[in-house]
Amino acid sequence: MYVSYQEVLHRAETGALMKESDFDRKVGQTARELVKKYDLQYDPDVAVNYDDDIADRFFEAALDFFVEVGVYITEYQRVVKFTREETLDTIAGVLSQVQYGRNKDAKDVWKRRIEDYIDPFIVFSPVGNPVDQELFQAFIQHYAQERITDALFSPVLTKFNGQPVKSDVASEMEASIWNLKTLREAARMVGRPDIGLCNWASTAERTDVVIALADPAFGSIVNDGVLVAAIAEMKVDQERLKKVSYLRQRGFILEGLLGPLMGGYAGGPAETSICLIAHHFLAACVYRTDINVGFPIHINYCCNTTAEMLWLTSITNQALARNCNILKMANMFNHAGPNTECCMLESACYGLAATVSGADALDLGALTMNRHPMRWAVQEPKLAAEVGHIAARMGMTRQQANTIVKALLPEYQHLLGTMPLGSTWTECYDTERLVPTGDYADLVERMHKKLESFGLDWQALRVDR
Amino acid sequence: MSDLYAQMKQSILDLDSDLAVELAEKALDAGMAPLEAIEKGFAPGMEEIGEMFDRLEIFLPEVILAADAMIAAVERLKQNIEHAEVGFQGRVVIGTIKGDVHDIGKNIIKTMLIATGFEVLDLGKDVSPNTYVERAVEADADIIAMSALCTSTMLHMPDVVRILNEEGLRSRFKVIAGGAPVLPDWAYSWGADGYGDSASEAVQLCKRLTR
Repeated sequence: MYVSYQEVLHRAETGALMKESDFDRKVGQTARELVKKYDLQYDPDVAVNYDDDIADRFFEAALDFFVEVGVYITEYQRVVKFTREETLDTIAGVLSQVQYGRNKDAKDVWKRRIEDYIDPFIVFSPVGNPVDQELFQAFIQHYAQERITDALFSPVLTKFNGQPVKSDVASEMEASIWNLKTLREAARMVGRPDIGLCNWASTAERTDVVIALADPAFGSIVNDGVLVAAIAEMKVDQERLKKVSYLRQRGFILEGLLGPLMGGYAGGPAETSICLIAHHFLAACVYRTDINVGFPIHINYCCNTTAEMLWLTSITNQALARNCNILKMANMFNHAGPNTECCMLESACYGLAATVSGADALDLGALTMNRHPMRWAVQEPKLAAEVGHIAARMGMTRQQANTIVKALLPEYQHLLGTMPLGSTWTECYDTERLVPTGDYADLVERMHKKLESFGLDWQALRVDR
Repeated sequence: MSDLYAQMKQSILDLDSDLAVELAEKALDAGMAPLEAIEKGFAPGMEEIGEMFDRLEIFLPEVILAADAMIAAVERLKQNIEHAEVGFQGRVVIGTIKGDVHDIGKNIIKTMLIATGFEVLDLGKDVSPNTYVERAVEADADIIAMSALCTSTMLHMPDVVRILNEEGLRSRFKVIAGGAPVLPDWAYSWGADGYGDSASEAVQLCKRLTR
């Protein structure tokens, strides 16, 4: 039986009471039991899973997990539960296609299957790398001008008019409005005035700010998306639910932001895979999302390009692609910074693993673990996007992707933890002409050649589909 | 005794609270000083757990269970002895900074600190800079520990040091910061006394600062 949003809010008030620390323990304990029950160990010899049966068992385990654990409402310390039938019926009602942007800039995210020929939808997203106010618009233009991106995220401002931009104070509102206006203006300047925005302002954290940004006077359009995050493993709060209550009635694209930590409350790669799939059920059943950004993170390296994280990405996308219509946007988190071979290889591996595993969209992505100011440039995300498109157009299989990823991983895995920071944007881009500098362009060229030697055909990008 | 120390350590590595308590009782019966039981028996087990977690040979659920075993053993040892003698390391006021509701990092550090002998006052999530200072004064804390996951929330952290300076309280507390977006140089730039990149690093930092 389909569960309505009103019923979810009712259950949030009446669900069973539970201490938060007990709920956290239940997440790990249940995931561990289900790994045993369904025989789901992480296999370090496989970077990209190509076993359908394993993917299906993960989906079943995640369903059991969701039914057993439920969703925690932090303020009330109550657990909202769904039966297996309610979960399946509710997720059956999700959209299998959404449209970002409007007019000639409209682009669709289509439900993709494993090894699908359809291009994954591409979004460039320097969401966590702070960018200086005076360079903000030019910075956005440098990635918005890339035709391969179908929609845009914004970088983040940490200082606005000389003041630090802090959550839940007036500067957050001031900076966020400016952020959105500048994002839309940058889109106009590259001839894409109506491109879809995935989240209006990375600077906006609080719900009241997000609601203020929904005013079209600041540049939002109804075919933009807005992120609503699960705040920790299987947890939501009233602040997020308020956002959902408003946005779902305005018609914006609701995007779940789902980032369980690998090594955290759920446990290791297999347990976290179960938890991430279950987060998609949470997003569909509680937040009523239209699409979901999955950004599982390695607890030590703060990235998802290690061998186990690529495996996790492949497993979760395949489990969902094979068993339901929930739309999923795979969010790359790279360890290294721009203009490094390490970051390029991370991007290529992530683009391959996610695309052949049926990710509907690629969110590309965090560099330098989303931490270092100005250390983001578009060529690494662009490489991931191109690799994704090429893999789809060539009909690359998971086995083929697994072979390539396994060959590339040893070239950068040893660097994880030492963090090659690379260059700042101003070092690797001409910030007036918005073109990469010579050494950065050379690196891109070298990476193309390297990947061509693995059979990726760049000519495939010349046929627009 | 070395055999008993080894069993104590193993009880933590085996995540076995019942066995840890049993061994604590055995140590007391044998006339072992509680502090000795902690320092030579149980604490090395918890240290190894921290190192294994750093290498991701184990994950957070195992760390929580190991901490449970450690705390259970210490509680049993405490029953017959004065507070100051059972390895009290210091008092930490900890929380996730204003605007931030992501508390996994804070909870990991808290678990490890308690298991290592710190007294921890958990202020929870979305904690304003003023609240950190007020509660640290009330608790007579040694350390104020702040965590953030978002760039826009971490920018509240410097306000804690600013308030401490304005109130003439800066010398009373050590201030430490951590979390995904926090960079060490940035933390030191506004006056943090320390920065931790991992749970075990944060515990070592707190030990150093309270020495």
